Amino acid sequence: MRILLIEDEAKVARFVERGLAAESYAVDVARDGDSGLELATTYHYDLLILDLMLPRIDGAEVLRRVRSHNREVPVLILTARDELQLKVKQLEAGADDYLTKPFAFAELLARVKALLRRGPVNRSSTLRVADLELDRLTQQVRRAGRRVELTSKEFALLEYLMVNAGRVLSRNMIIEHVWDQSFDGFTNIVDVYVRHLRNKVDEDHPHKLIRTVRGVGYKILDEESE
Amino acid sequence: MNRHSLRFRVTRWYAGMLAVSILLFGATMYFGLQSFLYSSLRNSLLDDARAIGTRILEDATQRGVSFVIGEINEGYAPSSNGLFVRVTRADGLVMYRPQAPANHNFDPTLVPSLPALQSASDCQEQSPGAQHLMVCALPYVTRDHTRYVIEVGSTYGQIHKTMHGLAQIFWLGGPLIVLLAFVGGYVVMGRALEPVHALIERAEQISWREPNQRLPVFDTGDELEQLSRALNRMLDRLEEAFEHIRRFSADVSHELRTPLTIIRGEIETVVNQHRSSPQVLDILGSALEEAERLTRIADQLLVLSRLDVGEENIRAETVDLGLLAKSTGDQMRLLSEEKQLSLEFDITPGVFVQGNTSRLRQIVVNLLDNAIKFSRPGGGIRLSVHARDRMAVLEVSDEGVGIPVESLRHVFERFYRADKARSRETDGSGLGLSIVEAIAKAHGGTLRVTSEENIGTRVTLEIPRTDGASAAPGPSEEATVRRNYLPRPV
Repeated sequence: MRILLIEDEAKVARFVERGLAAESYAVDVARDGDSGLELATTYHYDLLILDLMLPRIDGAEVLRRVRSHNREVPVLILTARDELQLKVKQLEAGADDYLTKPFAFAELLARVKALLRRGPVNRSSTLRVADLELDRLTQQVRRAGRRVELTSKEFALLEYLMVNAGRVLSRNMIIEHVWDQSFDGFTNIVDVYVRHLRNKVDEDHPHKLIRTVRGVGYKILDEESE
Repeated sequence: MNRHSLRFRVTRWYAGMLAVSILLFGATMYFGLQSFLYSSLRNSLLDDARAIGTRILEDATQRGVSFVIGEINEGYAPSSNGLFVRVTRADGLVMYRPQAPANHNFDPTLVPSLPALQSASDCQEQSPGAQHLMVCALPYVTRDHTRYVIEVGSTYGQIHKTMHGLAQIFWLGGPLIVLLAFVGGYVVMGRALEPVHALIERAEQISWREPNQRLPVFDTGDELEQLSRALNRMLDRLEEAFEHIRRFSADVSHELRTPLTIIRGEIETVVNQHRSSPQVLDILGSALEEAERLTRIADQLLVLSRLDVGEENIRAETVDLGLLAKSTGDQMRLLSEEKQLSLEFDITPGVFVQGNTSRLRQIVVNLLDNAIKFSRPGGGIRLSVHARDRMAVLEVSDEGVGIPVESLRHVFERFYRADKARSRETDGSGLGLSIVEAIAKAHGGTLRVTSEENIGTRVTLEIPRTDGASAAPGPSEEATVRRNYLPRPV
């Protein structure tokens, strides 16, 4: 999978490139709109990650020209501005997703994977992590065969963790998926719910599944990735 | 008629000045004419007296008293003309005795006789009876050196009639002219000020939500055109400044976000490499947490500045405030249970407001969060929603530590912390209540805090109510959860 990153901030470009490379993507970096456009129209890429604020040709213009040339390639917009109207405009102009800086790398990765259709778009009705089992249809959760009673929020939280098993989810990602935007930035609610979830899921088991990655967020452990 | 309006005041001044002018002019005219008429009367009386001397008295010595009487009666007919004539010789002999006038305007016998012979002519006012009389005395010496005093008098009748007529013209005409001038002036001023009213009306409508609106310009070439043009130029400059502020917020947010992205990204790269010791991971994690806090502050500042300039279209939906408060409170219940706090609802259903669901929910989240943070284990928190007159009232009260009196009026200030040490521990940004207040204001509402230390705090939000006729039921909590659990986008 080949990704083109068009980003003028050298340091942002560097850690995104490193992070994606660590996930075994091939990454090309362009530092301005001009060269980005040239690369995008010359070579085949599976995904474009495009910063909006670029020297010479700005991101919106790059997006427009790329779209007139190639309607297929998915484009993920990075921007430091989060005005809703701007967001809508870019999505209308043909962007596929939109990520506001600063972002957790985990979130970028989740979106990249989703765009590349390589992410775990797990639609099966039963999710499994080790001996933890979650049935989406009956809304039942079992750990080592024993029934675990969860509230609807706890269920939604566990489901989100299990769908993304092995991946670190930032508190903001969790808030966005399980709560709504009025809880934005109000991350201690996530900590409380995770603590309760842990009590119910992990307490009597020596093998703890829900892990904290300090400063980043939470993940549920996937045995294969261990 | 507004007594403070420019129109009324200018017209009043104008009419007042006119009245004073007419009064001054009238008085000058009146007294000038009076004195002119008086001196004319005096001159004519003296002329008559002199004529009596030269034409009649020169011959008196030879022709006797009867000649004098006859000549005067014939020449002047005092009784029918209402004239007073008396001729006295130096030795006291009255040569001609004044006769009562035919109309009995005065009694000539009451005019005092002169005490002594005068040497110079003199006019005096006398009041012998009903009417005043001007009597002029002229000493006269004939060629044969006989000395006489000739007195000729007349009533003021004619003069008074003239003066009275003039005064009548002024007393009736003056106020009429002033009244006409006032009405005319009022109408003219009204016309002249019409553009001003148009300006006022439009100026009232201009708000920051539509900063590109301008005042009407009247092509009259007068001061009003200049005024409207000047005001419009001022609005241009304000819009520019306003645009600067807006861009400034966005720029600041951008400038902060890029380095924050880098800090987070670089640290996460190290954390994800799994090669660091737990100690280092802990330090890096702490740094990440601070970066996140900084991000949150930048975001909240941006939210505040947007609410300040009214950028958000906030009153878009009809919201059941009670339902919203309850569902939000339910989501927060776990947080209160963590601290062994009881969370009670007292909610009247069907209290609707016009607003933004997400922002209103943010109010409830922030207020409950504060109440939970500043409560001691075992305390209670009460969330109530009800209608009071035309207002929807949402109240959050706790039995927590309270806010010191001296801090109460600062609690809405940005970055203000009532108790520095304690709130730092609780990880607030110091912007929570400012945001709540800004949201309340954007909804046309108010926020009030009452508190007593160690007893508790009560925060009251009041927002104008609407009837829920157009209310559409929002998605239920369950539906929201189900919609959101899949990784996005799918």
